Amino acid sequence: MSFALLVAACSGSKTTTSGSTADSTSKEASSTDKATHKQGGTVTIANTQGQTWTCQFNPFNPGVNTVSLGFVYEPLVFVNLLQDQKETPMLATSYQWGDGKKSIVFTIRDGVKWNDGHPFGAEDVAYTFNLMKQVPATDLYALWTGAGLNSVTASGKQVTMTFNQAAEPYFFNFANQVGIVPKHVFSTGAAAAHPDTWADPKPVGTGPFTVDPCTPNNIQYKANPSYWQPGKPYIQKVEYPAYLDNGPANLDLANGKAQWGSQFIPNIKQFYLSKSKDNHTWSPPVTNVALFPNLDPSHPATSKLAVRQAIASAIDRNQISLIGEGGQQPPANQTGIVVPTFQKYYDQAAVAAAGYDKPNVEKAKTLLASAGYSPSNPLKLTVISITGYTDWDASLAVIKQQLKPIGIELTVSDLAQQTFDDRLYNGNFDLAYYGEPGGPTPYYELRQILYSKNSAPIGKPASFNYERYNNPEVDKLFDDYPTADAAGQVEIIKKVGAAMLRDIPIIPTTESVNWFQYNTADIAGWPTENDPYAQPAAFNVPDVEHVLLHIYSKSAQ
Amino acid sequence: MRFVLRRLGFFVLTLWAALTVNFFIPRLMPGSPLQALRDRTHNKLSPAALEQMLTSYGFKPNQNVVVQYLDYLQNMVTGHWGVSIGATLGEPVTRVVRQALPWTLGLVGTATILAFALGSLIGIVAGWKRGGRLDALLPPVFVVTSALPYFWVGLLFILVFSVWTGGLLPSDFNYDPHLQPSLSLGFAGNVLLHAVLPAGTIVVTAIGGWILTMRNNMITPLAEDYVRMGRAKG
Repeated sequence: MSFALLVAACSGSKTTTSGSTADSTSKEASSTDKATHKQGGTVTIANTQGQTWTCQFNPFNPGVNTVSLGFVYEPLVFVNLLQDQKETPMLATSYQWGDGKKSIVFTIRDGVKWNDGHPFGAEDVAYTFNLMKQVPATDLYALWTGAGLNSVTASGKQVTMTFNQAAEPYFFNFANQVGIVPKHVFSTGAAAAHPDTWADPKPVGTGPFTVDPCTPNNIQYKANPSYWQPGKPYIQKVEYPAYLDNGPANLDLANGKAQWGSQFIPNIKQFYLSKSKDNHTWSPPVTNVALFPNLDPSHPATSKLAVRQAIASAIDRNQISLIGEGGQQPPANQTGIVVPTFQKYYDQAAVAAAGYDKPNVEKAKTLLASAGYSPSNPLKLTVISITGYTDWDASLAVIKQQLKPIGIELTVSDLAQQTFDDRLYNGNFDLAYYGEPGGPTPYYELRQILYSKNSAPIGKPASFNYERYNNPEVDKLFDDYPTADAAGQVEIIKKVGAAMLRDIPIIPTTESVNWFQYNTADIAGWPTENDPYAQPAAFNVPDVEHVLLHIYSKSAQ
Repeated sequence: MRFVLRRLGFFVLTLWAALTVNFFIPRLMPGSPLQALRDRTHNKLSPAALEQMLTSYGFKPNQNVVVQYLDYLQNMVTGHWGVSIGATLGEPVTRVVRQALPWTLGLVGTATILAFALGSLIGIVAGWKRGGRLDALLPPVFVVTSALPYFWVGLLFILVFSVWTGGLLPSDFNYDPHLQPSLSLGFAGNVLLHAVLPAGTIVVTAIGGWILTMRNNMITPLAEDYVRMGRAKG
């Protein structure tokens, strides 16, 4: 066993993230730096739930893990997708990949206690992951199936995971998104009988807060006195009311009753920003919203490249962003690379060379004419969207206006969510307006959109590739990504971007954001555009932990 | 006795019809609880895990539909209402109902009684002094208010009485979320404060009907001879 580890250590790639020294090139504070502020203060979150709280905190329950992960439960390593996957060691102080990145050894942090006093150790980590194998309902990230996880073993202060394929693309999931649970709680009683449906009303975690108390209207979190970072968290109380609708939540944000907002506020300047000089907003972009054309030959118009090129040339993304999204979602670009978040993968020159850096109505008219359509013989297309997404409706209204002069008559069809999903997945549309979940690099979103295995024949549900794009060359690029080195991965993504410019499989319009509003009257230390130390929305887990570890009350200093 | 039995039978029939419709409609709609859960988790989680999670909570869509239906009827009448597989995933259904019921009864029940009492009183006065100023002014006003939709009046009240007054009356929640429910006077007072605008909304929209009904019902008897006699006698 130790010989194998020795071999792995010699031949594998070593990445050590040490505890308290941040990346030498960044001057921003890391969440595990020493405490620099006094403790005290309360922060109130305004994040519309649509339901009252069930007061369940099981991190395996997908309905409630946004209120337990980050607040109470912590992952092994925090990966910040806003800072090029910058890592902050949490329950693991370092890790080391094995040969071909098919195995990884984590060194578990010393001196951590569960909030009920029991000591935390490597066996808790192993227990958490092995639980997912035992009870597949808890394997929310398909680690034992999709990621190819083979085994997880604990020995002393180390946890070893082995996979049957190169596992680096899954690091974000198993290291950053899985909340480690206590073996001594989950192996007894009701939790052991049904770990997936257990309510977990008084969650035992290693994180900075405990739940005390929870009522249907509000979750109150109190600082964990035995948290492993001394002097932290600075904020001592977090209030998380259960807003059922955006209206009351936005009102409370505007008048300062809540300081941390995470939803779309229409007309934000007038409604929120102008109410106080302490009201601010910064919503970082993370994925694309796009027109998904149906590439299947059964749809003769949208399956023609010239038609798609015409649409991509005619639309003015700046206008869509300004009018449709009130400027709160930045314009997207035709490569599908979200900027400025993933700037290093973006080839601006290629976009300009392809002619998609600004709208070109004349070129669009010519392209459409070559397909046989013109203002006198217009192409009639329907785009499906979801009822209630008023900003998407506004964007589509702008797009409709922009396509009319070139000879496309667009009809917007709003459908109930479930009806929309049905038609989207089964390929029953001309155009659909939608976005993918994305991930920590453009690889995830682009693979979701373009990988042929994510598609399905018309009439059968596709998991992500709704437009039915099928290009073996692009598939191969995605297959090569997991084993490529960092520079190689950037090259691969740039090549995929080039395919987006050449084949126009989808037409990105705006960039989807994590909505974030914050009030600085009493609370400082928020993530900002200049210091994006974590994704800022209250529903971004586990990033929420890092916002909670940075913010402090000015009046308590 | 026969009357009671007939009514009881009618009730059972209606209950059965309602339960059956409630069983079939969600199954006939597009989509499924699995799809809804995937949407709520933004498609970021493994569909297989989500499907198994729902199965753990009792969602068995592939079971024979007749077996499902009979199980469902049995569970409904014996009170085994199961667990929510919707947005409140994992919450026992009885708890969902139990939490909402007192507030619904309290708000709507009290407001309706208030609307009835106040409305009838105003209607009586308007009817007694028919042709007077009150009678000329109130009924048309209340015909209009009774046609206003609840939610619109509610939004208007929030704007006028909460936003424009700088928060004099609360704009959301049934009690201050920072408070813990208790049987103290302070908590009760807080609940009543939060009830003013919602109850006001219901009263304003419902009162019109009662006023007009009471007034019109009074007009006819008031023209009767025996009333004229009473008036003549003083």
